[in-house]
Amino acid sequence: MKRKKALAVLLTLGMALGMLSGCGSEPSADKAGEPADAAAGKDTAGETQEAEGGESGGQSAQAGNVNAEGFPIVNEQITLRVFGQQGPVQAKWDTMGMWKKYQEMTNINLDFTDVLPAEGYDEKKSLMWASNEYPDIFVRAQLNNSEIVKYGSMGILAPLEDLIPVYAPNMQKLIDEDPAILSRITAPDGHIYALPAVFTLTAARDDKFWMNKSWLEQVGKEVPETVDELEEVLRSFKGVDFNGNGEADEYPMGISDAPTLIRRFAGVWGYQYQFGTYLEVKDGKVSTYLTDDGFKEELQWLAKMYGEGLIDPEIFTQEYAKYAAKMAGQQMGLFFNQADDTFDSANFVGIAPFKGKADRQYVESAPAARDNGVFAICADCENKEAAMRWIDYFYGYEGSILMRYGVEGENMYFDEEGKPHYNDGILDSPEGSGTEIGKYTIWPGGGAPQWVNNDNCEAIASEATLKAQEALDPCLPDQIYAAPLLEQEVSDRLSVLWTDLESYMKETTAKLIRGELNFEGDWDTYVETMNKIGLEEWVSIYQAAYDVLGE
Amino acid sequence: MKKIKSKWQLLFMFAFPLLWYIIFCYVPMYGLQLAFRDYNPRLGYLRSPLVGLRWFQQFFSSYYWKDAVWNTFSISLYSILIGFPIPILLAIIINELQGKRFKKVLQNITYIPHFISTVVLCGMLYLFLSPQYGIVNTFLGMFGIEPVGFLESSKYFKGVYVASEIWQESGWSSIIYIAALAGIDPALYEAAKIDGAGRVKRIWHVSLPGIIPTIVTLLILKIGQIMSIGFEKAYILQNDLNLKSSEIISTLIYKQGILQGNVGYATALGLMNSCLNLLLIVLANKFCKKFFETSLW
Repeated sequence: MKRKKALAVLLTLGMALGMLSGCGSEPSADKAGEPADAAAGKDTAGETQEAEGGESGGQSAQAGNVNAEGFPIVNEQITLRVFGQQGPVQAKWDTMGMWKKYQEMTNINLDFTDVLPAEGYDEKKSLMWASNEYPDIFVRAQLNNSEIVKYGSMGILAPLEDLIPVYAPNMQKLIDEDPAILSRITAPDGHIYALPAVFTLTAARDDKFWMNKSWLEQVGKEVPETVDELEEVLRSFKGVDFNGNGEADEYPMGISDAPTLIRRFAGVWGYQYQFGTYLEVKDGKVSTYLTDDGFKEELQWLAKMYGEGLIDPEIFTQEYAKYAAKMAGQQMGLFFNQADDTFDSANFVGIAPFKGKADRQYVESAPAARDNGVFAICADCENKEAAMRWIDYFYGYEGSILMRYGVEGENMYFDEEGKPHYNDGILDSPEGSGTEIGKYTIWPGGGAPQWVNNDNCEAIASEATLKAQEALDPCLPDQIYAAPLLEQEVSDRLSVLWTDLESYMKETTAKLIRGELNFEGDWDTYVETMNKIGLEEWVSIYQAAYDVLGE
Repeated sequence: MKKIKSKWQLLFMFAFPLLWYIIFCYVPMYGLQLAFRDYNPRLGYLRSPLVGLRWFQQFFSSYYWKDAVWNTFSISLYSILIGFPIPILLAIIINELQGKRFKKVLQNITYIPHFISTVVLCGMLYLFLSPQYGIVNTFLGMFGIEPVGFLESSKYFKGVYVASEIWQESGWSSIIYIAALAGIDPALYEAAKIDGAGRVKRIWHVSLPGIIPTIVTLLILKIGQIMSIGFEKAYILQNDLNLKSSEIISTLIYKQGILQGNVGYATALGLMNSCLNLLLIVLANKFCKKFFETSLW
């Protein structure tokens, strides 16, 4: 009896230890092949054994199944496991007409289990990277530069540069036309780990300045052209109950958040916004203006406006959804948005950046390869060639229309000239055209693998938007540099520096605008602290990257 | 063996918490090695390259580290200094109350906030403290006080955090003291009464000494958690404006480890935090042993 008890205790302990070691060995590398095997699915079960041998080489074992051109892409049906983010304005992907049609065309099934909602997406993405169990392809997965370089160099993302010329003729054509795309997507080790969305349409790359025409008429003012005139106009907006609901819910000027406000007006003060951050490029030299006197003047002006109650006080705390509601509700006199898909632009006019504070105004604009990391292939994927052909369709004319407009007959039609149009009721949907289109394609919200050009831009570039863009075009910098892909260690250092710089800068500028800090002693402390944190080193990293680009 | 046999029920019950500890507290310790490695999921835990103290150096050379450590420490310290005595007081008051019905009502009212989830509580705080339409600022406005942005300033963050903590947890924490007070021999009170001790004297000389061991044990445990204050609340109440006093170690870990995927860095932060905790609990225990003659070990 005693023995039995002792035995039971021992067994329990043994089991516990077993669990321990079980947990311990799980994350190690020997499972690398498994997710790909699982994903290959039922139809290719017989071929998985060959696949393991071929995996280390450049070509997947499944290459023979892939047709060089035309549809279907594969003769024998395969399944690709997709990882991606279902944007806030998008429906569930497996209900979308475009995917249903494309699956039929290509003979490639899509498994959308890992397409996750935006809420909590970043957490889940981080956990996915750490898990060592990966999907086949990343579609609209919001991969950022540091992830691309980090997981590319770890061998999790497959290098694509050899696949592109052979299996992605459309992408290759875009690159040939604008080689700047290549410098945007090539990692410092020379590989391309992810594809960008390409915008040959400039209107899709910047935020327009939207001025409320009907408010202007009601107070009897002209469209402001200079900063001083703007001041006047904003003052005249204050306190007027334009919508007549008896509540003070109108804001002379509104914007999504304080840093964006600072950036928009930095352009008015003559500063560029290069590499996707607070940097300028002049005569081959990279510099920042975060501690400039001109920048201080800009903040002083914003503080003055804020003090007079001309800026929506919620810009420091609001969620984007709240800003969107204010746009849709026409509660702002002046605000900033890329297009007029979130509000009815009949009452609004897109205006030029205000003159008077600098010789030349600049507009923050994204480069042609606007969103990087919109598509990648996992190194474990057995069907890399098929995946490459699969994505390339969207970089061509027909595919770009499927992505932008959805399925012919269901959501769109072609007119006599062969131009694509959305079905009636989509662009003027009461929910906003973005939400409506998000029900059947994945581009609303940005970050999708797509090619946006003058022929397929009906939704984002309404006439009003294109007109608003005309006002901004003279303010675009001659050269637009994208955030460079940096080596792991440099990018780590940059991320540490920038985390500190940005949080401190955001906090201080917010306080300066709200009048909680002054522009004398506190400003000097700010400049001093920014330098102490490492502003110069931060700039020098970009300078080095710029020098490499020049070569 | 005989001992084991006679106490098998106890051992059986003990086995479950033991298993829980092994699975959820000891097994994960295996992952602590990531604090010294540059984690690469392809290579796994044991084969990721060692980087020594790189992550620790990175933390101590970052601009916010002092703030983060100080915020973590000070928020806890304030909660203990202000929040720790209140449940004791509450328990004594409840213990002294005569009316049974009133006692129950009071107890229930003070317990209820404990059952509100953190997310809901933070939502309530945002509503109550809003400068535009919050009840607190409306109330202050009646006395001609300008609206205060409690959550939009680093000045009030810790106050809001600690005050809401006290409101939420005092009633719940008083339960254990009420139980301890109930365990005091009524004969002691009667004897004190006969000796002419008034109510205050009875509380001071009978009630308090009776629950001192409970108080000390709870205090030590509380100090042991000083560096591990609730992540959710600080994170939900955090915004750019109060970052200076709301960035605590656990929110840093979340941002670095979960959002940015710097697994090694986050593990190093967590490890450092745990070591500080351990140090504090050992010191607190020593202190209490010396001054109150009660301690955990």
